[in-house]
Amino acid sequence: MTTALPESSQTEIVREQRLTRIPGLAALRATAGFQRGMLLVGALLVLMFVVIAIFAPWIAPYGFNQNSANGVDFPTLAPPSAQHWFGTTVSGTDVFSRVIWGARTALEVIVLAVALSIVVGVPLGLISGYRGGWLDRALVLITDALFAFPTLLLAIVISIAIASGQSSAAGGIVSTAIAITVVYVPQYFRVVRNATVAAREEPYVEAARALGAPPRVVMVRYVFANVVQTVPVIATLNAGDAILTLAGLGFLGFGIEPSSAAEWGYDLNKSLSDAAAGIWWTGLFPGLAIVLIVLGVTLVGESLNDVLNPVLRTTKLPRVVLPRRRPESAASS
Amino acid sequence: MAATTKSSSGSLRTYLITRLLLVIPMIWVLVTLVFFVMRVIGDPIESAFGGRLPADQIAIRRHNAGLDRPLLSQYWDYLVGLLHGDFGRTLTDNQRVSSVIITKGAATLELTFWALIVALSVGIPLGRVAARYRDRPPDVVLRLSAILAYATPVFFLGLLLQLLFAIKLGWLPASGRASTNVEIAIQNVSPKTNIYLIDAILYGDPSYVIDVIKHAILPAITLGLLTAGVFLRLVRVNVLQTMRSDYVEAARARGVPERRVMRKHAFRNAMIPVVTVMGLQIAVLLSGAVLTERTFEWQGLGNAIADYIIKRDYLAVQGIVTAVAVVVAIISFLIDVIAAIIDPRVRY
Repeated sequence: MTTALPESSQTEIVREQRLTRIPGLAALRATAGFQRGMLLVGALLVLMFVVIAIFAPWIAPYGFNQNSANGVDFPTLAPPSAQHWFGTTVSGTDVFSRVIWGARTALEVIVLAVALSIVVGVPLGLISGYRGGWLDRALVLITDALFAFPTLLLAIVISIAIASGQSSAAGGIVSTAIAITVVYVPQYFRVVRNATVAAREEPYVEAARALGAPPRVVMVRYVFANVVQTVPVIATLNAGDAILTLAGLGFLGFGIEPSSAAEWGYDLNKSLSDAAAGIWWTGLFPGLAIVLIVLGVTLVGESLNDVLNPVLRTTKLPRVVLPRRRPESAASS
Repeated sequence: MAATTKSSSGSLRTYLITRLLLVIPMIWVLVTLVFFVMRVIGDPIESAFGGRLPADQIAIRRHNAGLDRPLLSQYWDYLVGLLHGDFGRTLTDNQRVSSVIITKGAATLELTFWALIVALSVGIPLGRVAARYRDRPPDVVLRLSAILAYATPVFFLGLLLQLLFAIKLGWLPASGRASTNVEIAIQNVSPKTNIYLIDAILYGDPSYVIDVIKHAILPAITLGLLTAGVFLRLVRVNVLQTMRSDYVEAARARGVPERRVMRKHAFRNAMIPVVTVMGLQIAVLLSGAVLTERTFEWQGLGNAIADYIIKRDYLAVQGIVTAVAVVVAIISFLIDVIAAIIDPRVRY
């Protein structure tokens, strides 16, 4: 059939296929109207966040813990001004700079936590789902128990365990990331395990087994490839949740030392006592930063979910145009 | 007819037993995990008093708390204690964790209850509206607000509400569960429930009841909106799904007007999953309650946990967290039971 097609349309098809291989673009192509808008706005917010996080040292006018410049102390609790766009905190640090540096902390923790969750959760789910038996039952029981647990309390327990083991300031980001990882591993595990259990009985896996492929090859080559599609959606949706958990931990005074990195949740905690005096700028800006980034990540995740999840997909059928019964239209066709 | 009822109640019983048998190992896993994870860190006494008390004092306290014994025997005693409702003692103020849980838990219960009411009364009607106007402006706006509600950390929303309604406008109190005079007065109510609304009603002064309600409004909205978005989306999706089902189609074909189809046929069935999700939301609400209580100085379990964390009293934290885990497991069990009674499809 394809040979009958002219050269140009063949390359067109190849290009089309290549485009759909890039996940982001494929998702964008599958969306329309409002959904596309959501995906674009979300992607833009995420991009902004990543850029700010990476270039924080150049964007932020001051350090996150800096309360004086050129030997002059910053005013404390000063309202937003030309010199301090978002005002200053009770300890005289620049709120704008702390918000910018906070993006970097959040990005570091989130990337680390999501990567760790995938590295731990996906193989566990694959092995558990493929092997079955007592290992599967035990892992399902443990992850179900963890899943039912209030996430923040779980993160608190893990942070206490890690933080007291080694209370070095540099470990703050790593230990917070690990605490968040423990919270989210069950979700990856569940999805991958269930997909694996379903895929295990599929004819193509059966065929691979019949051809004598060892379990490891079947899992990695055949099952994994078909199960892994769900991971980006969970990862994006979890990333938003993870930012909220990070901020929640910081709000309770956990995790990252204020002198070692700027953290939005911690800043919000400190701003509570300012609020009574009507001081809004110490809380508003870090709070807005959290809202915007979680919003961005969630919009991307939701759109991906809508596009990739066939149950939710509202297929836009091509509009059926009935031929008009007017004579002139009949003549033109 | 009699035969079918009998077999269905039989399957309900089987379901309840299976579900109950799943709860027990789940609680055991949770308790065990929390115990060992919290002990990995080493010595709770050292964390709480290290550097503040002389070494011999610490050794005495360690001995009194039984922390110098082998880990497994501590674990065994902890499990036996739990079976008797003993969650251990706090280190810093030497209270029974179980009594902390009872007094502070009442406050958390009150807050969670109000929040659930806010969540349901906002989420369900709006979800219905969103479904009715699918993909049209009201739906788009509502879905975006649901995402926004999710993206806003509870403590930030709480802070904003505080700034606006308590400090700027002065309409509502910024924090606490009641005004000080009210709090003192209702301490002496004879069957003291620690649920302030009930205590205030028992006290019998209407102005006290109003004071208590006023204090609850902002925290309840803060925590309630967190889950309202979840219910909104859930109701929307379910209504849309049931609107597409065959029996709704059949009702339409019979000429039942669209409003009545929604009210009588689609909506009720769409509500069933809400019950199930409520079970899952309990865990989310309790996480949120910790942060909400901290924001509004609501003297509940969450605030207590945060206080003990700051004091590095990890035995207290361990006890409270374990208790919360047990409560969550039991509540989600109960809600699953309710769901099974309402919806026969759940019983497998």
